Amino acid sequence: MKKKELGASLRHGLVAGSLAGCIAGWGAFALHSRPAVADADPPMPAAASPLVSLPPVPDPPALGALPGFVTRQITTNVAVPAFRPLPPLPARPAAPRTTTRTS
Amino acid sequence: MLAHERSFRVMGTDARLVLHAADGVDAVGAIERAEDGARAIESRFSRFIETSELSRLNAPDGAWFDASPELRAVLALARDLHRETEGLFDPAILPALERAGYDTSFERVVPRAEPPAAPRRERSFDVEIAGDQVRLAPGLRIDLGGIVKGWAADRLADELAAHGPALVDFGGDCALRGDPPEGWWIVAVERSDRSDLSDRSDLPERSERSGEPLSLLALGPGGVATSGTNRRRWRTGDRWSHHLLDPRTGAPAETDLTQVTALHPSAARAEVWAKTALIAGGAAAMALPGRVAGLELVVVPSAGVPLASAGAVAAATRGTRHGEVARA
Repeated sequence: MKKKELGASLRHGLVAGSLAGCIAGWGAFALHSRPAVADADPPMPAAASPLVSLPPVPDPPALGALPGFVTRQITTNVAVPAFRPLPPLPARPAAPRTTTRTS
Repeated sequence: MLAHERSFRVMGTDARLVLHAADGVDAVGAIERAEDGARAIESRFSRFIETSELSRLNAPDGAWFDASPELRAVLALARDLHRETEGLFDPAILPALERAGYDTSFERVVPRAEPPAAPRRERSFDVEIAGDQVRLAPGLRIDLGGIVKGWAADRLADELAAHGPALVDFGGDCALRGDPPEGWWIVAVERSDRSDLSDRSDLPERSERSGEPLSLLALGPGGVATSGTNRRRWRTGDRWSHHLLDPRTGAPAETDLTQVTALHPSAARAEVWAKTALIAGGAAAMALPGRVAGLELVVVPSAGVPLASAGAVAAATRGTRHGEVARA
């Protein structure tokens, strides 16, 4: 066998071997991974589940004073007792019993 | 029914006792006992008497103190009113009062060239009362001059009232008991501008107002008291000082009122509320009759006409008519 023919034969063997290895490896991988792929994809139900109606949201409870706390009513219109001017003294006032003044 | 009267000086002011007693009643004896009672109260409560019970209580040790029933009663009332007035009535103002220059009996307070010491807020009044003993917080010193005249008037009027309608007046703090023969107790309210120490140049001279009260009140049983910045004033430096200190600042109260007269079933409470209203100022003062049961006020603003709550206007209207009826 000539040197040139020997080289060609080796290259052909390498290519064929590599190709066969790839095919064998792929086949082994496919066989090994098939169950895991099947488990991750559960069967779809035959028909869609009926829609479930949620109960209506209740109204919020009425807020009241916390027990034990004093509530304060705040108004902007505070009732102030009416103050009026004093009536004028008569021309000749009665003699008082005593006088209140700064003590 | 005869009217028995006595006037004298006590507690640094003019006192007046009136008793309408039926024949056969020892009215003179009752009035003498009332005068003795007034002097005993002064001896117990004066801060200018070193041996008084109040001076001993003020000793700065904060220890429990065996107190008389009278001192316990006044301290308990003062504690209640300190709370009710939200601190505007505060017996613990004594150190501030002394710094302002009122450090001796008022007749002896003299004008001072030096300015008053800088005011500062004092600690608030606080007293513990347990059985016969009382205790002030350590270092706390108190002056009961803002309540004890009214309290004394109530106490002595109650005693006199056992003999007939009675009036007790300590320098304008008055307690009235029973109905006098004329139907009402006629009490004049002094004008706030009638003061021998007035520095107000915007008011008429005294001679124009001489003898004329601000109003005449026709009152039934109860108490009446007046507080103003026109009396018990003194000069320190180039400023006037007066005895009504604002506990919030420790300085003489700066208020838009010059005088307040309070009517209340209790003379002691009338005295305290008159001072409180004056310090609080016009707007706050005019809200007080709406929240303090039995309180009626006559307020004299620095500018403007005097105003009165409904009950005080009614009393003044009765007083005016009473004068007209008396003349007819």
